[in-house]
Amino acid sequence: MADESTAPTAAELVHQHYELVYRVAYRLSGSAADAEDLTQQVFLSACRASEQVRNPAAVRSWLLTILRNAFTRFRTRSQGRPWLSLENQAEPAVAALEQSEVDPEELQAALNELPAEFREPVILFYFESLSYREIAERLDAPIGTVMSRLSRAKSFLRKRLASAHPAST
Amino acid sequence: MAMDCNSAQRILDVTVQHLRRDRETQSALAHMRQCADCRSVWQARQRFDDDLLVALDDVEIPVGLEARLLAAVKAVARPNAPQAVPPAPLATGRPRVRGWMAAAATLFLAVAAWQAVAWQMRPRQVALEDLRVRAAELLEQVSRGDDLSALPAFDGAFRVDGLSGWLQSVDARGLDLDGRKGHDGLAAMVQLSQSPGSKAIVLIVPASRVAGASRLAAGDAVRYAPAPHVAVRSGDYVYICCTTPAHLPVLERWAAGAAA
Repeated sequence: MADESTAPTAAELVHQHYELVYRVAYRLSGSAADAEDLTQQVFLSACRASEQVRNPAAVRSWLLTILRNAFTRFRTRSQGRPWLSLENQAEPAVAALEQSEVDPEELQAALNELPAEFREPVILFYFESLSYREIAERLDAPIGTVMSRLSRAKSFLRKRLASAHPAST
Repeated sequence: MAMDCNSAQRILDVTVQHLRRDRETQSALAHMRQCADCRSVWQARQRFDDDLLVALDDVEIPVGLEARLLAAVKAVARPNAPQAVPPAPLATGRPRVRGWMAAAATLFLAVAAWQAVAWQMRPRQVALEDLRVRAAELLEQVSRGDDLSALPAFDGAFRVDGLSGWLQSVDARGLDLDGRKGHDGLAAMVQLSQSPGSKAIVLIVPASRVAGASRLAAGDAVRYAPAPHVAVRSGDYVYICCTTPAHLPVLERWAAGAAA
């Protein structure tokens, strides 16, 4: 186990963080194969630079930053998905929202429909519990843009997942 | 009820994480306290958020993934591991040509290193958006009743022509934009002369330090969250003023005059 004065070994990095990195990679990419490729890229990059780690408490955030950069490169290579408009998303009724259960697979299908610009703030908000300002810094975007994207993405997910289980009343 | 349901739900959707003290958020909260429909919408959304968090984490980890990752990183870390791609053969050019090339490469590296040092030493520009966020944070701080004493005392000299009729400075502090110490600008807690009791934050920064300052010639009022701003360029400086929504028109009138 790495203490505060030593950098973690490659095996420690993998053992402690591979599940989290894979989960986030899967939610970002929407595919098990792509998620595994991305996870491997993250740990290869991280292990090359692991001696530079001075603050083990920040390793998790550092790994997820590497992942996000790897995903950005991956996304640039595999562009071509039609753009989804999030304008004027009508909110589902309360009854529909209350009766819906969020199924992980349906959630992934909904995330896959979201443009990456909207998906990334959602992942940072829920997985890393970052504030709007921290998300804005990570994504190098104005805080107003982050708030707007997050609001529209959450609205889209509510509508999409509630409509998968329409209210019976 | 002063605020309608759609506005209240929209505002609370984006501000719940950091409930603010601005008037718009407080109006939305007041609306929700009185409106049973909005309360039930809000509670349903909160439950949905909780479910979403659980579902996001529910991803099956492939069997053997850890072992495959460990094997991959060990293969890269092992110095004498067989290379998948053979190393490129050594260059076989004539010795005199290689000598000139080495000298040219050394000279190139020296010039590049000098330019890198010069690049690091130059004053860095700050995005206008970052200044707006900074002003909003300082306004939130003073709205909570704190002062600006965490910022360094201001001992520089910035001209603030045109402000005196509009704003009364309560406290002025130095503003460090790039973490190198020293004053790059001024942050002032002010009261709007036409609105006794009002609070506003004004940042004054040399235009040369603000990326996109040239776009501000006609004044620029921004009404979106986290707090409304007016940004204007006047002379060699950029002024970013941030206040509560009720006092924005005062700042807009000032900005129109300053820009003219």
